[in-house]
Amino acid sequence: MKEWQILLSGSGGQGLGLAGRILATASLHEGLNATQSQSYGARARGGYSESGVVLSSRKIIFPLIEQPNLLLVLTDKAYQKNLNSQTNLVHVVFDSDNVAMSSGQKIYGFPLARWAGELGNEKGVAILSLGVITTLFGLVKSENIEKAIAENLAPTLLKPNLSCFRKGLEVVKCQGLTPINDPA
Amino acid sequence: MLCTVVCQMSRSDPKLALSQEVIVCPARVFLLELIPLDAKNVASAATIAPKGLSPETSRVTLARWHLKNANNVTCVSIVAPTLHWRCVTMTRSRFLQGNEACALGGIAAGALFFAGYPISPATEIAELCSNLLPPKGGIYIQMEDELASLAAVVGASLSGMKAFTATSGPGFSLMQENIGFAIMSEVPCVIVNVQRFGLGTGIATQPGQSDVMAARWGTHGDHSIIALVPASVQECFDLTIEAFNLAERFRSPVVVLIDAIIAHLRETVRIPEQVNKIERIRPSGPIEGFQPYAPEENLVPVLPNYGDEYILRVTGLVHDQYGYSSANPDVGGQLVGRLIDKIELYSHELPEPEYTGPEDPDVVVISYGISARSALSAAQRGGRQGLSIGVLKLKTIWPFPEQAVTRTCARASLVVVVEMNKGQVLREVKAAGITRAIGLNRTDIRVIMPGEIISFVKERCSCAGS
Repeated sequence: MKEWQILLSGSGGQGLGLAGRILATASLHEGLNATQSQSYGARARGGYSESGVVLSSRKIIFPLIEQPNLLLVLTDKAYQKNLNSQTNLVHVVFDSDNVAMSSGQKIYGFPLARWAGELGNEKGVAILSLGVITTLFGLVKSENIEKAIAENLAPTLLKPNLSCFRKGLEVVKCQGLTPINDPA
Repeated sequence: MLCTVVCQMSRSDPKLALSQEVIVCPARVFLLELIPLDAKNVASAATIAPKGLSPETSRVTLARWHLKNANNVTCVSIVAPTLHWRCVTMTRSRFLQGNEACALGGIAAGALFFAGYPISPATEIAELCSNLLPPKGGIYIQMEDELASLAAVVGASLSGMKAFTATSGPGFSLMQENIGFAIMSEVPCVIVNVQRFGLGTGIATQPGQSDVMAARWGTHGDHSIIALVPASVQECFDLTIEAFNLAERFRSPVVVLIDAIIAHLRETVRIPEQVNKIERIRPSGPIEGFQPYAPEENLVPVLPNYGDEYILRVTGLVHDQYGYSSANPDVGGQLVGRLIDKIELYSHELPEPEYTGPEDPDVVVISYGISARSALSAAQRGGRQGLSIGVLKLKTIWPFPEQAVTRTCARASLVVVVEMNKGQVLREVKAAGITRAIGLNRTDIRVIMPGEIISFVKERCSCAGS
């Protein structure tokens, strides 16, 4: 397995830090190595926010995102910040309601925030996105993500967030998208 | 992960030293037999051991390497050469933030007292201590400011508790007066400084590595100080424990300099059930005529705690061996000299820098904290591009490990010091005699990325590959 450098980007309050932590802890359950970083301070309370996860079967030497090979974009601001330069991104998953993508890269658009809202859990959008990402890219088994969700959330929050995650899983399956197993 | 590591060392028979490493974990049992030092083993030890280390130390490093690379077992035993036996039971592997690991390290080392004034990016240390210490019978106090925080820590330590505080640059400035007091009055304590960007109040929460000189010379007067620099979340745990041990060993404050990136990074940390702890030595002998500041052979005095039957006078003034203040020039000169010598003459006991790379690299990169992680990545990637880069990662930054630096850099054509400041460690490298050293510096809250180091080296090294 090559090293995945996953950048989850959007705005403060969307649960990106938590989603990053869940993804990282889930991958530890599969015997992978993981590191997680996130924006801190004022950013975390509104405005642009991001969370970086590095996954690898080998020891992770540099723990931050240098060049993401998988990018989640939930807001237009996040899109402007992460895709306006000559970035050589490989895979992009974006919120099709909120981001006007113009890139010719390998992109997957879904109305992520709308779906989370329909499930009555707007804050679950990052966890819903995790469902999409893990299925689409075969990063970690869904049962390990569910286990990690349980480990990182208070019991009362478990049900609404699990339903967000499962929604993300279903969408990819229903659309018949085949998993991509390695970062290029 | 549950596994037990047993290391056997024998000083009486060097051939047997570290002859067996037994690792027991639920699924399997490993027995790593270290073969006698034949040419092949020496060669493989040399590739992973810092240059110039004795074969014995290389063997220890080799054993650690074996442990790290054994499938499913990633624990590392720290084997002190003075120990005959050491048993480490690994019970837990946790995914932690650097700050959390630092707080847990302090508590594992036996700290039961924390006084502080929360400040980002160090806040989580205070937060965690406020949750964990009271149930253990310990004390957490949120003080009115950082001056008071360190004053409370000094008081707690004088009364016999292992105590620490955590802050960031602005608070670290406020603590300088009491750091000097703690050095002068020989009070063991740990000060964690999670460095943020800039001088003044800088940019809150954003990273920097620019408090290196503040740690060394922040307090006035001639003195020595110990400062450690973790480069991973695991090292936040390990080096905080080490800091407490060194504080007790040297009876001196010890600074842990973390950067905001490592402090907020989450990585897997292996937490042993038992850690190697140095406990405070208490005086014995007659109470009458007791001289608390009369040093032992290693220049460190054995002080009583407040409340013991011995009388302890504590002052920031120059004092004689009874603790009475003195204006005698000989007393002043000897005291300041001893406070420096008790650390500087024993600096070989402090954590050594770690060298990673080829035996005779064209380029040596010296770094610490998050910048060292970039350097290690750059060296690995550069190696695939034909560059010969070795990395010397510092663990102790004060006293500066001059000997290891000069030894490692001796034959390298290019020496680069990578740090997120204007060249604070670069000055020390030059002062150590490596005057050709150059700096790759950044002071704009952005981490120095591996790619930047590779480009920097390629531009400046005639020996650089394609």
